[in-house]
Amino acid sequence: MLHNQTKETNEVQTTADKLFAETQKLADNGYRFIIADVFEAEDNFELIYQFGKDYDATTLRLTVPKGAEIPSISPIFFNALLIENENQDLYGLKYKGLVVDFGGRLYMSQDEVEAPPQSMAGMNVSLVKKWNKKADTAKKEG
Amino acid sequence: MGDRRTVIPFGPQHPVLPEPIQLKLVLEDEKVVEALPQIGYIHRGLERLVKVRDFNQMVFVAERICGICSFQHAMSYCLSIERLMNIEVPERADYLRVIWSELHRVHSHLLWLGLMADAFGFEAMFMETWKIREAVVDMMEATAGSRVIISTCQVGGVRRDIAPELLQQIVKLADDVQRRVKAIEHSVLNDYTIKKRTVDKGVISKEQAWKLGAAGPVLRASGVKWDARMIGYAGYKYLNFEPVVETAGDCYARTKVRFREMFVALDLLRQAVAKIPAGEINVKVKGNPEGEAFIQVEQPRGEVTYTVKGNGTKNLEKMHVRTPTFANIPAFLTMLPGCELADVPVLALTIDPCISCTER
Repeated sequence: MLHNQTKETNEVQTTADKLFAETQKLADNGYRFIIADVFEAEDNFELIYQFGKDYDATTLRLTVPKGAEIPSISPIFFNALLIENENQDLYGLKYKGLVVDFGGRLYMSQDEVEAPPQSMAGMNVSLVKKWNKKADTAKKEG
Repeated sequence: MGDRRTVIPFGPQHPVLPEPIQLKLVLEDEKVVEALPQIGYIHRGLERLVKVRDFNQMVFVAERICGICSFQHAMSYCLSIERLMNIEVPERADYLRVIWSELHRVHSHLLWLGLMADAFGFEAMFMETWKIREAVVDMMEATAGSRVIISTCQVGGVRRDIAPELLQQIVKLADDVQRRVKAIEHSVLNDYTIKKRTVDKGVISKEQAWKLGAAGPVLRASGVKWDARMIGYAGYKYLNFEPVVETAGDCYARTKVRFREMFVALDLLRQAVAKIPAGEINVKVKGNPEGEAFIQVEQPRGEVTYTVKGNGTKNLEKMHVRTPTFANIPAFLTMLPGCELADVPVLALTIDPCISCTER
C-alpha cells in the first residue's frame, strides 16, 4: 500500500488488459496523470500509475511478466509519453500504442523519430513522417 | 504542404538554455507546426545510486538533483523516508524546513526573472534581479554555511538550527526584498516590450494544463488553483497562504504568477519566523525503511514527486523522482504549435526549464 504525506492513496489492482479502460474511467472523472513507477522483480515488473484529483491520489497497480506488451495510456494522457518512453529506455518495457515512440532511445537518440501530435485537445493523433529518415533515404538513393 | 516544412534544431546549445536540451521544430515559414524534444545530454542516473548508498547518504544525492531547488529535493526525500518509518519530525524542524524552502523559492524566481529579462535583451533588469537574489543566497550562507546546496535537511529533522538574531535578520531580509521587488514590479509587468513578447503567447487552457499534468506556475497561470503546499507537509500546515492563480494561460500570466509568488513566499517567511517554537530540531532515527511512499512537494518550478520503496535494509529498493520540468514538457510541446520561431525562446523560459532535474 502506498502512502502519501497525510494518508494512504486509493489503490486499484488491475491487469494489463484493463489498464486502458481503468485509465479512461479516471480521465472521464477529471483525474490527471502524475507519474508511472516501475518496480522490477526477477521475472516481472510491478507498475504503479499515480493519478490525482484535487489533493487526492489514486493508484493503479498491476504486475506484468517481463517481455509482455503493456498498453500505453499516452493516447488518453499525452503527458504519459515521456515516462513510458523512459521506462522503455531504462527497463526494457514494451508499450503498445505510444503516441510518440522513441524506440528505446528517448535519452540517447541515434535515429530520427516521429513528431508529437499536432492537436492535443481532442487527442487526434497525426504524426508527421520520419522526415530525416526520408531525407536520408532520398540522399542514399539519389 | 508537407514539402514546405523545415526542421530546425533548437538547442542543445542555445543562449536562453543554461543546460542542454534539443527541440526539433517543424516549421512552415516562420510558424512552428510541431515540436519534438530530445533529452539525454546530461542524464546521470542518480536514482540508481540507492543500490550503493544507504538511505541517509541518499539525502545528499537527492539534494544534488537540482542546484536551484536543492533543499526541496532533500526535504522531499526525507519526507518520504520519514513517512515509511513513521517518524514524527519536531515542530521546530518543520518550521525551519519552511524557511529554507521559501528562501529557495525566492532566489529561484529571481534567478528565473533575470534569465527571462536577459532573453529579452533587458540587461538592466537582469542585473537588478540577480543583485536582489544575492541578498537571499547570502542569507542562506549565513544560516547554513553554503549559498545554494545547503545540506541542512536530514531524515528526522534538520541538521542546523537558526539563532533568534538570524531569524530576525530573515524578517529584515524579507522586508528589504519585498521593497526591492516591488520597485521593479512596474517595469516587469507593465513594460511595453515585455507585454508585446508575452501576452497571448503560448496559451494553454485550464483543461489542457490539468490534463497535460502541468505543474507549478505553469498550471496555476492557466487558472488551476493547485499547490502541493496545501497538502500541509512540513510547517505549511501551521501557516496561512493562498496559491497565486492567473487565468490567461499565456507567457505573461506565467510571469505574473512567479512574480506574485515571491510576495507570498516572503510572507510565509515572516509567518514562520513569528510562529517558530523552541525545541529540538531532529529526532534519532532507528531501523531501516520498509514499504512504499509517494510524496508531493511544491518546488519553485512546480510539484515534484518522490516514490520510494524500502525493503528493511539500509539501501532502498527504489527511488523515483518526477520533477516539475519533466511534467511541464508535454504542456510546453502543446504551447509551441502556432507560435513564431522568434517566440520559442520566451516560451521555453516561461516553463522555467531545469534540465538537470529532468534528467536526474
